[in-house]
Amino acid sequence: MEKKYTINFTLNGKERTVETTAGTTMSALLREILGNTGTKVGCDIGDCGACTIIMNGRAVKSCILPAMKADGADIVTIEGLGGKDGLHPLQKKFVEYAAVQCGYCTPGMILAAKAFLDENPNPTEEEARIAISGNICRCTGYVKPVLAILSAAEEMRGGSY
Amino acid sequence: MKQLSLKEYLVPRSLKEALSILDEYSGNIEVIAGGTDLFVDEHPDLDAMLDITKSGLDYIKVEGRCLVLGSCTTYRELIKSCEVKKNFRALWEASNVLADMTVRNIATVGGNICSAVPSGDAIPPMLACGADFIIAGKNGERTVKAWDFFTGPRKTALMRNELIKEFRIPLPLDKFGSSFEKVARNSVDLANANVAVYVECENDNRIKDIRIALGAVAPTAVRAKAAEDCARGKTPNDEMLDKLCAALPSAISPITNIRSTKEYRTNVVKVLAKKAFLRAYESASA
Repeated sequence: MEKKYTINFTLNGKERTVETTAGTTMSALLREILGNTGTKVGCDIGDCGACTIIMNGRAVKSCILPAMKADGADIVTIEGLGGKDGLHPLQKKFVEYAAVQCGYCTPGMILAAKAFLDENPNPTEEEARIAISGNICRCTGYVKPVLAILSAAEEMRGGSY
Repeated sequence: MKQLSLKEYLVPRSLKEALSILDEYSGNIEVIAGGTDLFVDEHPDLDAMLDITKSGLDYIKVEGRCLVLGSCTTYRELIKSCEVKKNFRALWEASNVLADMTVRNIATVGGNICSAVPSGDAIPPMLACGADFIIAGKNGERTVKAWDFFTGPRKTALMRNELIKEFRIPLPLDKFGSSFEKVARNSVDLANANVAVYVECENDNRIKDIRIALGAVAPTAVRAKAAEDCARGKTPNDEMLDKLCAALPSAISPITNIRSTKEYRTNVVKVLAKKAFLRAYESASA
């Protein structure tokens, strides 16, 4: 019989209490239990990175993250970035630079970039590429996303995000 | 991917609690650290997972002439550590090319070691640098040398109710260096072959000691002892290096699989070993 666990975590700045089971993945918890479908599931085996979220400041793949690991953690998903009232510089630059085609890798890639830039505000191009090394994109060839990340980094250095 | 059959997920808050559960749990229980290996595939036979990442096993410290790494130290932390970069360069270099950023952010060195896959990037550095694995069980601790720990693909010397507490890497006073080389199909793949070399020099820069560890070219990572013997006591030159590389194939038994062929692997270990040796020697003889 599956045991039920109650976990508490911060999701995009708000305290959440959720019931889950031992084998539930964080991607399933976010999408199916909380209805936050901004986090995508591509391969479901931790290779493509479409499911990337930020946990305690680190970009991690949520399809291979036990939901139980979210207990006590600070979680940021794409829904926590910008919205109707204004986009995060990364979101803005991805649009400006046409770094989005099908869009499926985009939430994960933006969060991987955000987690990296929050700690490394002035990266080289090489470092920006390594930051998104866990995010596969079949559409863009990575050129525009990397340019967008470097441009967003420049804007973020100028303000407080 | 979702673990459909898993019933319990336990998170002990101390090593003592973890070992107690591991010893007493009546069903099938497996230790989980970062989960980037264990949570990928379904495990229908597992009843429970024991998450040891909150048991105080993530630390990096220097104790006397020993670098000590807690088994739950993540690759992210290893990469950020000046002590690891300076004293255990082979592991630092392996940490930077293992998988990808999102894996390195949560995967642990202990997890990689215990998965015991033949291509594990942390494994050749542990062998080359002569690490001691401190294994904890309900009744106490025991030490196993890195090269005695791996008994087959995904098989280790761990007993059912044991886990690795920490890794202890002995550090000479000076004149030592280590390095790591890897080839893979792309920047985030498992190694087709990986090599770690450790060199210690005398004051006149003759090689005092050398260890060469090769991964992904045999059922477990292996030491290339015949190649090491070519170099011990010598001052490196082209002839010595050629002999060293020629002695490597006798240590390995590579296979052809989806990633690479046995012919390529046999040839590329020579290239990697030479590169790794030259960098480790440069560091040791400086």
